[in-house]
Amino acid sequence: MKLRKILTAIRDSLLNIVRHPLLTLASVTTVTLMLLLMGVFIVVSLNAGNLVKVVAQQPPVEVWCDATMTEQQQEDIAAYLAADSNVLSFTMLTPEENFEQLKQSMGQDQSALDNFDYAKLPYVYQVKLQDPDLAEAFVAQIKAFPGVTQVDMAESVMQKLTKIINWVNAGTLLAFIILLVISLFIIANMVRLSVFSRAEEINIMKYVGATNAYIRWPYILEGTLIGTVGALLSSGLVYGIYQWLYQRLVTGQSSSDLGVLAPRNFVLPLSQLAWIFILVNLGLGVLIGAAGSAMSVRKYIKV
Amino acid sequence: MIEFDHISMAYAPKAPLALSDLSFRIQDGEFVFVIGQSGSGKSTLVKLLTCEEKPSAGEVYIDGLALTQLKRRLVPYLRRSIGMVFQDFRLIPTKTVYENVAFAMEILGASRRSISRQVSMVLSTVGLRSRERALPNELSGGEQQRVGIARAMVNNPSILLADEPTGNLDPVNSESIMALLEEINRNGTTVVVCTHDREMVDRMQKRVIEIADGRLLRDATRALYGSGDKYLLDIEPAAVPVSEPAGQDQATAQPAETGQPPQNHRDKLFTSYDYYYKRKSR
Ligand SMILES: Nc1ncnc2c1ncn2[C@@H]1O[C@H](COP(=O)(O)OP(=O)(O)O)[C@@H](O)[C@H]1O
Ligand SMILES: [Mg+2]
Repeated sequence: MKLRKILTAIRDSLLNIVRHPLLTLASVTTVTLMLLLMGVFIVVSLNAGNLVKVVAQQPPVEVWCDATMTEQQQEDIAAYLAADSNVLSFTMLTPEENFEQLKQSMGQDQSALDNFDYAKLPYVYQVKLQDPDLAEAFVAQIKAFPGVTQVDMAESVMQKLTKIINWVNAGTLLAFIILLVISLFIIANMVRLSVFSRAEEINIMKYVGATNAYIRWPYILEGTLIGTVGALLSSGLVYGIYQWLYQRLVTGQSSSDLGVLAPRNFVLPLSQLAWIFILVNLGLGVLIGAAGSAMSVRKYIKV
Repeated sequence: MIEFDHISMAYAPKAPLALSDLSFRIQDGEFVFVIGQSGSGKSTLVKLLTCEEKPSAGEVYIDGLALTQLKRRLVPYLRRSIGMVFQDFRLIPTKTVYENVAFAMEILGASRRSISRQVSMVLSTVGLRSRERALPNELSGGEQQRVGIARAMVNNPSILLADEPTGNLDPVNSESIMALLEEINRNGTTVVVCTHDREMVDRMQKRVIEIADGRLLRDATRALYGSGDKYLLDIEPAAVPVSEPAGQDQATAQPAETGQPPQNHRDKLFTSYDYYYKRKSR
């Protein structure tokens, strides 16, 4: 008995959809576009988040120390770095190692360094930080140590990035709310028209003793179905666009003078985020479809 | 039993009363005409019975159940025990005759097989078995109203409410519709017909409840339409109905062609309704 009612509801919702092909098309298109935008925002946000993570770890904060620093001073700094929870990892480059690096970076011109006294080069600690937001505090702390002469970090880049990320996240949230409201409105209107076009039939159903739930379910299913189709379409679109962009930006790109900012360093592979936006899209689609039609149906169908 | 107990009803707080201080009783198995001019309150009376409207004062009882106390979500279960017939037939134009009747059973979650059996039976009762596949606009008015009656009867309601059932029909069709209603009544269903069709009321000589401006003007058994005593065959108060109330035993005797124990079906409906009602009010 229950099952039969469910089947009847599904049949009626499909009939509704077939009966208003234009209306259905308009709703599906809107939901798809809305979820597509949503998917783009999510993907951008995820990638931006990853970019911050990569940037935070990649260009280490470089702590330059006086070449003449004592071993005690070195140990103090090492101990501090080991203890700081914000320090992901650190390495120390001795003046010799710095010299080697310098030599390599000069390539064919390295003969110019033949008489170079590497002892004049500093000790350098390369520190990778966990959280770029705390970088400034870290710099202040480490500067206080004796022997530290200079602290370099991609300060401006990180701060800008953090700001950008915050904006992206706020934008995502705002877009989410606006698009949610718009889609709810569109679905609610579609269902309202669908209900109106069958007003006579609904009226008769009430007289014959149909319950509210019995009359409402097909419409809620109709909305949910449209939401789901929209979600699948938009997921497919995001998937396709992302794959295309990924290939162009990451796989295809050979030379890069962008450093860490080169796409290949932070753009997430599709496999890592496909399920996130597909799930979010599906969840949103179903939610919007069901809630939108429920809003209409509660208002316009009362026994 | 249907009872109106000092019912007053206004559509809006300050609107004039559509019904005022109206009281009467209709016993199980009666055939009653509710007559009165257009705007006298007949349809309002029907809406009170189907819980479409609530009275401003007084109480409507169906089988002892006070309708103003009925929870909204139980209203559909009440409506399943009342068959409704309308002046404008109210058929769904996109559904066939069969589907129009069947969908009243689908709502109850009846199985496909029992739907097919019951719908065929009701359609042969109203004489439209052969037009099963026709669409409403391929039928005459009289035939459409028969479909309306079939739909009202398909779930074996204990009460049939008809609001101007012959209002859109010519005299010949009206007559056959009334004959059908009478037959339904003979099988135990309480039939209440709202009408201002004078000829028909006069011919049928049933109990007449006449209202004017929402007030009870007269309540007479075996009456004629016209007001004024000379038209009345009998004006004894109708508390004890004369119009051969089909008792319990008669109610069990359903027409042979339906071949189904209606009592069971009817009881079942009421039981399920009672069940919801009791469970809810506990
Ligand atoms: N939905 C409504 N809203 C306001 N007034 C109504 C409504 N329906 C009926 N009325 C008024 O109630 C009175 C009784 O109407 P009704 O019951 O429809 O009469 P009848 O069916 O006997 O023609 C009339 O005065 C009518 O104008
Ligand atoms: Mg009326």
